[in-house]
Amino acid sequence: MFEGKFVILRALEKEDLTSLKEWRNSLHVRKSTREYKLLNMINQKNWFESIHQLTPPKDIMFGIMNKRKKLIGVTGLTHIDWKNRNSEISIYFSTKNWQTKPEAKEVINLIMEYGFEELNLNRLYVEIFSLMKENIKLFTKMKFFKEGQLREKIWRQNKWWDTLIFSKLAKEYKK
Amino acid sequence: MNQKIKMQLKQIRKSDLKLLIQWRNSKNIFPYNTQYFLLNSKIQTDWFNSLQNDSSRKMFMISYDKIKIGICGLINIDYKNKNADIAIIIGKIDLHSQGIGTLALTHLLDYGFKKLHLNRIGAEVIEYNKNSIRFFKKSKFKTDVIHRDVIWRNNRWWNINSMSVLKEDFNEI
Repeated sequence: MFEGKFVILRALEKEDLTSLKEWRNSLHVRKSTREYKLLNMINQKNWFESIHQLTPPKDIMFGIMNKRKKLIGVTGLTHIDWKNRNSEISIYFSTKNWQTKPEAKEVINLIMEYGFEELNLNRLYVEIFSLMKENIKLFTKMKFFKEGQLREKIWRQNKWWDTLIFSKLAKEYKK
Repeated sequence: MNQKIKMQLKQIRKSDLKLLIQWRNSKNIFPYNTQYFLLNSKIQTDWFNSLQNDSSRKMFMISYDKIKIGICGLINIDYKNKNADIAIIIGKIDLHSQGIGTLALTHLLDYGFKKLHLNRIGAEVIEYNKNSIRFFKKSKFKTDVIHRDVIWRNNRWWNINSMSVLKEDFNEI
């Protein structure tokens, strides 16, 4: 269920946090996420603890491995709302320009499969900064529906940027 | 002008909590909040205590003619991106559509844009809450996003509208 043609999803372990910290501090990931500080290991450990606090969890994270079992990225469902059955998708890879690789599409398909088929969620969404053209292209290609754009939601690179909300509903999901 | 003098935003006191529970659990208010459980005094007291050390929320009682008639404030305040959301409840239902909400909203926007130097103030409204959508539109809010099927109420899915007003729009009022 967590394996595709190119990647395998597995549970994250504490030992992964050093790699995750480096990736999240790298420019190509930092410019796409809400985090604006550089992360240290205290931040990482607190985050790791916090995602294991609640039952059912609000965040379910996976490590992305290639077929040689090397960790190459992170994905997951965050802000899971079990009452209204929706969640945000989180995804990034260790290297840049991942958005055009077949691995990216496969990971999104695997996470949709998990969210819709296993968790019975009704809506999966992403919030993409307008500066992230690659991500907009990727989710458009994955037939996510653009619901609109929150005006001037973030400040980056000395100016305001909108954020775009894309979503996929269970009834629109086809394997 | 008279109305303006009568309307004040005041600090919330512990003694206001009973009123808040009563309003928020009432059939005129409850369906329009995304909260889906009834409040009791424990939840409300915890909420009150959590407000005290939280700079991301600034809440006020709305007083009109010296009577507490509602509550409003800014929540999800993001000082980095200068962004926040509006929360507003006029508990006294007979005072709806009298312009008091608009007055309170104007106060809040003024506080958010001028005092907190925010750039954008948002509001999230469930689609069936037509009065609130009209209310925010009147104060220059625009609909940014319609989140599809994002809330389950009364046996079906509903959209939520994300509306916002920017500092530059507000300065024109």
